[in-house]
Amino acid sequence: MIDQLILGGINGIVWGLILALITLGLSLILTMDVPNVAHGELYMIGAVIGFFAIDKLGFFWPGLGVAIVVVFFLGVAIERGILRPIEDDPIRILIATFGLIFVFQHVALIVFGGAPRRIEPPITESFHALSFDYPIYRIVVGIIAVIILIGLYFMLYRTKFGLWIRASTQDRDMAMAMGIPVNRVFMWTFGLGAALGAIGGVLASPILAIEYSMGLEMTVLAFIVVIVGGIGSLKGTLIGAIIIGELEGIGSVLLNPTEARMISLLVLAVVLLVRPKGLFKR
Amino acid sequence: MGSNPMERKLFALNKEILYYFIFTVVVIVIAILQPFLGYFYKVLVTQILVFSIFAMGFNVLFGYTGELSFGQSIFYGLGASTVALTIQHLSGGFLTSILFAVIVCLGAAWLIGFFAIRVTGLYFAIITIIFSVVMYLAALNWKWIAGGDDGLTFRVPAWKFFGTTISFHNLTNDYYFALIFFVIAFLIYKRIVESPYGKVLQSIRENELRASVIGYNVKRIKLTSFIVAGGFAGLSGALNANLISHYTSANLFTIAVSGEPVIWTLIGGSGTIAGPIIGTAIMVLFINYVSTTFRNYLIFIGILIIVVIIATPKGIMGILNSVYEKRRRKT
Amino acid sequence: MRKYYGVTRRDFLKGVAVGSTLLLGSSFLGCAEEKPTPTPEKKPEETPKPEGKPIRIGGQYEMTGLLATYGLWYDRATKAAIDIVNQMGGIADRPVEYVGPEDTQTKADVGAEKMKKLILEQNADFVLGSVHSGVCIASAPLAEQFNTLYFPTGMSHAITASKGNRYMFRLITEVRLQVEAAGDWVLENIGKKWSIVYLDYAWGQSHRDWFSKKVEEYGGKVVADVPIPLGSKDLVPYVSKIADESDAVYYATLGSTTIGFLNTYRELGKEAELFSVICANDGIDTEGIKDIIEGQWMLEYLPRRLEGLDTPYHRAFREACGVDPEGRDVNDPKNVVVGSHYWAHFETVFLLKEAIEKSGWESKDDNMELIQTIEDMRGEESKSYPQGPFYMRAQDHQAFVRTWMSRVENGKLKVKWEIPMEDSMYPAEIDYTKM
Repeated sequence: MIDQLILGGINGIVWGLILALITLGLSLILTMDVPNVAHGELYMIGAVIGFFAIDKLGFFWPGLGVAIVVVFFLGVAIERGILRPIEDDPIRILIATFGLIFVFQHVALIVFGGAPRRIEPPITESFHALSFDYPIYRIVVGIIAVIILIGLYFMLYRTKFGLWIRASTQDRDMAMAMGIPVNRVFMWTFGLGAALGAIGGVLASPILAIEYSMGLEMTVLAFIVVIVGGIGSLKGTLIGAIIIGELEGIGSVLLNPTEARMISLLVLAVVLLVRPKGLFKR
Repeated sequence: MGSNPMERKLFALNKEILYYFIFTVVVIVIAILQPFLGYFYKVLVTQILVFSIFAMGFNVLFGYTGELSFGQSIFYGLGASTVALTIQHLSGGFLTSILFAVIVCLGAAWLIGFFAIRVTGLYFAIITIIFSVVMYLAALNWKWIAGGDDGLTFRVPAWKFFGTTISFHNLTNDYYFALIFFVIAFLIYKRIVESPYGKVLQSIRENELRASVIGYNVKRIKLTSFIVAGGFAGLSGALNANLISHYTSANLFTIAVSGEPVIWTLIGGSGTIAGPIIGTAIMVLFINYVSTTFRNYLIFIGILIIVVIIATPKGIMGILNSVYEKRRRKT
Repeated sequence: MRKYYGVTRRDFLKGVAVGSTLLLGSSFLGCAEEKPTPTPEKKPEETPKPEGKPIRIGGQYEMTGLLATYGLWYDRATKAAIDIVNQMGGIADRPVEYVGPEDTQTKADVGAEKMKKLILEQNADFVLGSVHSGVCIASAPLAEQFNTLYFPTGMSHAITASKGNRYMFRLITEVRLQVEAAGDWVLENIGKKWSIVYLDYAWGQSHRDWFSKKVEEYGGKVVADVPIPLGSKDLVPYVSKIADESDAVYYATLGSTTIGFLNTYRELGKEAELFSVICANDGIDTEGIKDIIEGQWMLEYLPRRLEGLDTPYHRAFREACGVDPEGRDVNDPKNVVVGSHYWAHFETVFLLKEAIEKSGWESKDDNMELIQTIEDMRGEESKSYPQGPFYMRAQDHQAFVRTWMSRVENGKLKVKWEIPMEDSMYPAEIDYTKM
């Protein structure tokens, strides 16, 4: 029991980091008031492309690179082709990306088939502590999540592009008047968010398997994470993800897992009601 | 349209008359058409009538009040489950089960809405999703609600008077009952959105701050709008259980079910009176035809949603309306 | 509701404990005496073109949604069988037409609606049903209401018990049958102390219920009961609940949760033997996950690899469906067959042919005679029934077939043991013939 709780606690943090990695892209895109409900699908497409690329190339990391590049440009194309004309209305964006869910899912069903598959993890070793083993791969993914988080933070607060993003999201017209290429900023940021989703997809697929329908559930989870953490706050996303990881990790040791899931969701709902703008406001 | 207020009033009146005229014609056509329809077309029309009630309720909430809920499946599923429970445990019949279902859903909507309306926009959408996932898990976990994943089938007791029996497992009867409830629901719905209350809803959609500054209790009005949507969803679920599927299961509580009225309403035209109905009819027929020939027909639906939302936020009704107004202006 | 079910089940189980052998023996032998096994159908030398009003067979399959893989293969197997039947001269000299597949979208209510569409719009005489238990249960009353024979393939025990009716026949195995077939063998050969991991909804829970019961009967012990909520992503919290003292783990998960479970199981260094019914892995490429699935035991209802049942009938069946000896699509080797399921609808078509020709069925008016013919019907291993002999029990309309115990070796399913049909028999819970 105690061992299980310790394992649950540690895993809650690691899983929270992995979840944060998957969610960061959405967090970034939501900062610009673009509620992309197809984020989970980009995560899925990333995993599918990663699967084929790794299968062809025979190596994990180059395959990850391919997935990132392809999904980045896919994201750019979506922004340019679909979202540009409706950029000022978040609800319309939400619905357009809702339509994208069907398109992506079924393209994946045609290309990938209905059965789940998996990518072999590049690191298969585990380390032993107390009475349990823990996979090193998960910890590596967690570390990658932290690195990307720090990178994003620097990009947002220490580079010109980051300044542009922040300016464009705060006041679009003013930013445009100042000579910031707002449209291009949105386009590249959306691409970046999509690429982050793809990284999450490829890195998570050895743990979670790949299935054409896996995106929607992840979208829901990612939205909950970002919104509980607070839109526009990377720190909030990270903490939101870890809270969810811990609630599930500890809760399901102590309670019936399905009831634990329900309770943890209700806890998140209460958090939202108490702090309607999330834990960390923009 | 002239600028003269009298003229404008006349125009509005004309439009109103036209509306009722078209509606009456449609209802009569549906009623007369019944004997000429093939068996399955009866099922389809019944379905369209029942589902459009679901969409109407959603339209009050989304189209008129501007709050996007992805949790309407809670009420749709609760409606169906209440019917199953009423028939199985309280030996209730058609009307009692529907009455109970609507009451339960109004109550549930009040309870959930009480919390949910504290947030708006995206936050509102997410909190409704959270509630619907919880409800889905509950329905899976506690089998008495809806029989879990396997679900419950039941027989609706027939009506007997003066030696005649009216069965609810009969396509023709189901068809007419659906039509009656559709007409009732539509009249209520039209009354709601065209009343001063409906105008307040729209003012909240257009500018929440301004509405509250004028002195409206925005939260309370939103809550009533959420309750209305919940009641309509419950009615639709109850009718579906009574007239079409005779079945309920935990799967009626999934997000996929919540997504359906969103699609129907958007394609038909959110914030327009006939939009949800037209959208439902088109989508039900479209899916019925396309799904047999092309397995991945949802791709088309996805593309259709994207095209509609980019081209016109008011969907098909938006296009029709603008054509109509243009012609008015010409004459 | 819940109480009601609990009581009946317990009462029933008590009944089983008292007189299972008696019931089993008598009903089985009695039937066998009354109805001799039907003679194998005559195969016409010439294939005259069948004439007359076509017999329409509908398919209500999962073409999209979570179980989309199943629909794809069901569709193929049905088409293959109907083609063969038509080449043989049709059924009772009438051509056979395939209507469908109608897509249930893996949703119960949509499935029921498609059942109506098949019967009412497409005029299907028979409906071959979905693998989704919810769809089967929702469609069950329709079969009776519209006087149409329905062949569900959902795994829920209730389909041939409390929630079925006389118009439904299930040729494929179901949860209880699977536990009966595998239970004794795994308890004898794999271990006595079990952890049960299952998806926390109807299907998983019924595996838990029946297997726990089996373990108790046998004198073994269930040391951990681990439900996984639907839609779980990270499985560490659940896998860590598997007791270290377990000899073996019985798991009932589906699709991506299976892969997630196996992966987490290895990651956490668990070493107990694994066993599952093939449903958890059907359609999944075991070679693609061989690092995590190696060595696990599995109950198959038809060996995925030809090697496991190398008969000319099985070969011909695979050829007709476009499946290679390894259990992959001939044209797209990445696409793995749902090998333990798709045979059911292939055989159903031939079962219908045999029964229709025997009973002289002409239209739905003759359905009762047809039902009586199928009740207690027996099939012999043949071109029509490549899976092997079957016995369709009259009382609950459940078919009994042989099954196979396989193990994953080098990423491939290798048959270790054939379990005869009799081992999976259990007393009928209901008698539709008396209703």
